[in-house]
Amino acid sequence: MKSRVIAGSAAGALLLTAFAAPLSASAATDAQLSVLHAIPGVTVDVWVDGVLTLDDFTPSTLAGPLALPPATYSVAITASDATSATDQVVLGPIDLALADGGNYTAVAHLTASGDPAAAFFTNDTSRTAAGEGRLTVRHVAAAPAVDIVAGGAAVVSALANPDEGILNLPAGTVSASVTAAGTLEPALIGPADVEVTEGVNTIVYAWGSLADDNLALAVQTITGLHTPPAGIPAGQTGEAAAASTTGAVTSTGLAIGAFGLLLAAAGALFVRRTVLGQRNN
Amino acid sequence: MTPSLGIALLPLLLVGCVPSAEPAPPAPSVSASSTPGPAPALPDIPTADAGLTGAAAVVAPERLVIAQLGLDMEIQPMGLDGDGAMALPAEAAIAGWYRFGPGLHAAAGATVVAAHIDSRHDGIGPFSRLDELEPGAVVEVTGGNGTSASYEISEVRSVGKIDAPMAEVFDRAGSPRLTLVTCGGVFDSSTGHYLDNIIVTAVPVGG
Repeated sequence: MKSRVIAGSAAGALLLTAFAAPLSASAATDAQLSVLHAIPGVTVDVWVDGVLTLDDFTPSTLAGPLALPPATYSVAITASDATSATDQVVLGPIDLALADGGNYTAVAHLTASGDPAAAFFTNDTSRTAAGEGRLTVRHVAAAPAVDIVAGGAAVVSALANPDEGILNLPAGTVSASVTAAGTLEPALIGPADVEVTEGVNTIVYAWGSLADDNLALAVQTITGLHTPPAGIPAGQTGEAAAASTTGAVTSTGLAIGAFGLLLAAAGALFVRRTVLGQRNN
Repeated sequence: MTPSLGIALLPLLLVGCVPSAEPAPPAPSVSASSTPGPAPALPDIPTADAGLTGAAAVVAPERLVIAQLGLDMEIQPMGLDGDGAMALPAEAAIAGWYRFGPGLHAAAGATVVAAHIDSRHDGIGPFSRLDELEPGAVVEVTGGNGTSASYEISEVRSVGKIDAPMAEVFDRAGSPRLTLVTCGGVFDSSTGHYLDNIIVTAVPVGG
């Protein structure tokens, strides 16, 4: 075990070096990569460009986000006692193309028929409207197509592995069930309370295996997508302005302004005449 | 020396500060982004259980006291009005907290509390005196869980609404602070709105 830790550390050093070079060479915005383990029952290692990056990665664990310079990375998933990215391979290697400033989640999961697979999702980080949050649902389970049912109706229909559905919703708690496509019940998962937080993309993964009776939900959140209110209209009558020595009320305010300009103009004229008068004297 | 021994030694030279079962010199930090030193460590990739959890606890502020003004107001949680602006209690005597933003004791961002300077329901309100506040004045806020927080005024400013920096007022990422907002300046009776926002910033005391 100790030798594995050392190997991983050396790999980490190499990984850092590899990432540092492109970072300094361009002004590109880093991409954000998260990794979700959604294959039941196996602990794995994750290798990026041949380098051990996630050691002893367990199911239902979300790693990241890891800031990476935009580039294409080769990712392999192996058994947890593998000695290299090509030893005891569970998945891959697959190429992940990370674009400038992109936000991604790579998911190790089961296909609808139960085989290990990797899904690569681009996360929607566009702004949410004030008062709203975003709910993304992703089917990465060994199960047929499903519906997401909330409030007695399907809000996402016929979602198949490895697809996603995206909803922008008023912030609040949604009680949702996952059912076989075209049905309202029975629930394959849930009902579960999912918090749709304002300004946050809440990404819910249905994972596991229907046949093995271990379907479950995993959640990832991406914060900071909020839009502020359009303003703060915090006065209605003008009484405070009228009562204040510094404030002013409109109609009069504008009139005072205009009158003030007249006064200033008159004053200027008066000064000029005075000056002229003095000269004449 | 056998080749395998040489290979085993090489990683040790590269990484001298990795935590292991054996005693090692204390490392100041194991952060991938902030330690460009000669002995880089494993990338510090955060991992977390992705299982479903409940809503994060946000502490709603419920009462605002500013001794300098003799001000003691109830605070109600508020969202948005029909125009997408922050909604406020109808009464100028009651303040509103923007419930989508940070609450009391938040680790980051602005806890926004606003009130009408004057309203059709109860006339001129306590927030009409916000512009009298001086830097250093103390603000006490009590939360829904019985806890309280002390702030001191750091800035009082008047900003034309056209220029009012809403993204800054409702910032969720900067240092934790309390932002009090009302209206001010000239009242335009043709639109029924004041032209300015009074924006007061207060920072946590002793924390």
